[in-house]
Amino acid sequence: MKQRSFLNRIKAQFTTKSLVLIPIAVGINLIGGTLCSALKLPLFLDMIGTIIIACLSGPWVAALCGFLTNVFLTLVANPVYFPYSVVSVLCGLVTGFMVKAGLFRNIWGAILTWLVCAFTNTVSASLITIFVYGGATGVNGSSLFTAALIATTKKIILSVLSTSMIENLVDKGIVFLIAYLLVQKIPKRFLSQYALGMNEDELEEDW
Amino acid sequence: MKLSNTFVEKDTMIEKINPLTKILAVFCFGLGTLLFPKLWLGFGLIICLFFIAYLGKLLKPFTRLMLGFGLPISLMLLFIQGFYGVNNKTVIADFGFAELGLEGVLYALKIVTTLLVFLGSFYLMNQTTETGKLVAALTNSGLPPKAGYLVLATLNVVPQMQRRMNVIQEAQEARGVEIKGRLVARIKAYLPLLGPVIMSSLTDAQERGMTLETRGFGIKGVKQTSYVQVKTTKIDKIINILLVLFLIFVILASIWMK
Repeated sequence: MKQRSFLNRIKAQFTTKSLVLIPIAVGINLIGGTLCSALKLPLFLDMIGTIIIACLSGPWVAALCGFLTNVFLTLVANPVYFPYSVVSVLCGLVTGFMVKAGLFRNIWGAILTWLVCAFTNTVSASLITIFVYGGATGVNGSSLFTAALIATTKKIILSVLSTSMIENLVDKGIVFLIAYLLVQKIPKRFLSQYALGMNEDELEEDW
Repeated sequence: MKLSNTFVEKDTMIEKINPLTKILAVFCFGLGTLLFPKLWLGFGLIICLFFIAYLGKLLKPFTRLMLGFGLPISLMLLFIQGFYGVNNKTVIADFGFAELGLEGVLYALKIVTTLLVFLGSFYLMNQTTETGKLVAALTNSGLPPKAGYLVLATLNVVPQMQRRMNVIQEAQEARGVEIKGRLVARIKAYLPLLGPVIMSSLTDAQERGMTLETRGFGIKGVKQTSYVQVKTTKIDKIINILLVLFLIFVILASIWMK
């Protein structure tokens, strides 16, 4: 019985409105990537849309959005990104549940979400880099940094983890700052049409 | 970074094969290379892929991809695993600052060949298949139509959003926002871009949602039909059987060789 209500709750997040939002959120995620290449930053910034959709439609929609972002990158940019879809899914879920717990309403909650999300991303992405790619993907400049660290510390896991940690803290920091500012700017009326998300309790009072 | 669908019709044999057959091929080749204990199978498959790329009139971009991805990652992995791999026992060369281990080099080569086979075959599959056809084939074999819609919509929406971003960028430049300059100046210039792009996209999503609902997107208990038809020919069946046989053979050979 409990299992079924859990599944139903996931299903309830996938209304047509949320479904339509997903491609847009994926587009927002990718605009972050375009921004990075325009600014020549060695970052990804590919989570802005995922965070916004986590605030609007809930964790599972955010997870699907993260997954689709990687599917899209796999199809049009480079198949190397596909294994990292696990990372995007996990980050979407973590952010979604923390938003649902009401942590995105003030700046301290947002900072906590940022740290937890950066940590999740670091661990999962490092595991994939080590076990799928043997230590480096060679896609961006951070692989060179990893190689340099390995040469000095002689430890592969430690080097990959610390590179990823630095990269993620900066990357997710910018992403969460932008997303937090944006979510503040979305009109309340717009937020309230999505069934699950930030203002779930307020909605229940209203209806 | 320009992101849009990269399929260009070239009227080759490979384009006529059912997308599902190609996915099976990617799966069989990649898994075969991963399981097989010796390296030559991976190298052989890579050569085969070059031949298939030639058949699909994709030899030039394919070579560029394989070299552009293959060379940096090979060097990087040979460095990381060869010098500092955990399993290194047999030393084949001493460079003074570190020793090159045989096991690490073999491990690195194994990863690189597996990756290249996966990457190369996936690239060929992707370049020779129209995404609409791919999604239609997947929907026919049981993928929920809503999931299919999501993939296709994403492919359509992203170039649209990039166009919108260009328009807004030009508008902001007309207002006097400087896009060039030092890093801080550039970041400052891009922030007033993001807000309008994202907000207008959100309102766009609302419109799309209403349009889809009025056209029966959310109706339950109806079998959705697809405009794109995908056929399974005799050649597809033969290729499928050959691929499965290849995978079984590789699995048996790997067990026997261990």
